[in-house]
Amino acid sequence: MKGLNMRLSARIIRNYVNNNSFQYADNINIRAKEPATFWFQLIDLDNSSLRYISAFTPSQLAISVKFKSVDYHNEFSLPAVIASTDDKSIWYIQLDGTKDVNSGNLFFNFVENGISRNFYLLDVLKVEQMEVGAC
Amino acid sequence: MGNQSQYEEYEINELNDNYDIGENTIREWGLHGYPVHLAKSSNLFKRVEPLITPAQLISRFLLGIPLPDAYKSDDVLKDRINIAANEFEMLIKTPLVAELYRDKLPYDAALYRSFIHLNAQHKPIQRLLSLQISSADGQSLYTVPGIWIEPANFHRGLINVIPLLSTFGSTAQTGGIIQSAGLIFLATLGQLTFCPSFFQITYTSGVARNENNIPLICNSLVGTLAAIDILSNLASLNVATSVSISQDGISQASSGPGTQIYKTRMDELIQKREKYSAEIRQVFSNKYFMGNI
Repeated sequence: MKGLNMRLSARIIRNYVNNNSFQYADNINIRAKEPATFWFQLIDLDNSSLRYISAFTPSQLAISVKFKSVDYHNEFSLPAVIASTDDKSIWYIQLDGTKDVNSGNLFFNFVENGISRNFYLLDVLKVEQMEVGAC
Repeated sequence: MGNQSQYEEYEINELNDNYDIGENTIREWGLHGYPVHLAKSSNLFKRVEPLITPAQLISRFLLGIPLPDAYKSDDVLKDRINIAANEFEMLIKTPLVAELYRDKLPYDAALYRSFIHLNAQHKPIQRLLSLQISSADGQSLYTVPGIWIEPANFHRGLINVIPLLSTFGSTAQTGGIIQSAGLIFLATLGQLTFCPSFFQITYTSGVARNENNIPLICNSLVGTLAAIDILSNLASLNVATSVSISQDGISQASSGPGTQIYKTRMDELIQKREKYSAEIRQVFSNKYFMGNI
């Protein structure tokens, strides 16, 4: 059955306005402890990295993004939301600014009609600190 | 778990993914790991930043150098940065970003008498989660109270147990030192002077607490390592050392450095690599080891 062996991944998107107006980005810079929204587009690495649009309805799809930390206490996961039902490949995540992002490596869990797929993006979030004199 | 030893089971139970370091930390030195022993930064000068980006790698190390299209892909440069960050860890022998470690350290009678002078295998120590005397199968026999542990030399991976109290003169102590503080350690050893695996420490170690707080000097070394690799690759593509063209009695010839094209720049970066790695090791690690066995 087509699709079962696909390896999903994502491209980070910057300046998303609508499905026809956005830019691909290598990484996103955000400020620590400030609300931020970032978008990404699902792609299929086994299909020339083209965007992946699920055939299922939005209610059958879910993406959770884990922000890891060496300290379990500082780990957290956030659900992603489909940016537009017209293009189910583009999703976004909202950070409310209350949690520390400890890594730019994001770990994705994509559930499609009960089938779970996992992938990660390396070094895509750059969190600028206001404390720049020491760490 | 059928084929696993009791020791392995213990390790898995203790160091599973749900390790709450914040709750378990018994000692850490101050608020800052870099600059070492800094009490408070004015933030008038920038010393930390997120891990170097592909754009920063080009602007800081490869500015003006014509890059082939393949190197204009961020994925390729990210991969080079990731490799360089791993090289950094091998070169400095220190994790770039904090990781959780557990070491078994020896009992040495001479070091024991010097306030239990323990040298962690990974430096610097950011947070010490436990210091225990443990059996060969990993079971804890005795846990040293955090209040006795001196964190002042954590940046060099040194742990001392100094059972001094903040007040002097009570009946339970002489000169501020608790008399019975370490008896249990020696009682278990008898007349031994050395035991190869005795103390067990659990701690986090790394130059930065997370990848958004990398000391700029370490970022610079990562960039230097990546740039050397890229320049070496680019130089090998420049194979022609001389070119000559002639037609109808008119000729033109030119010669170039060939694969030596970026040699000067690479030599400078290699010198910088040596200097930076020595300086960073001096701050966070030990360049020389001494013992008394």
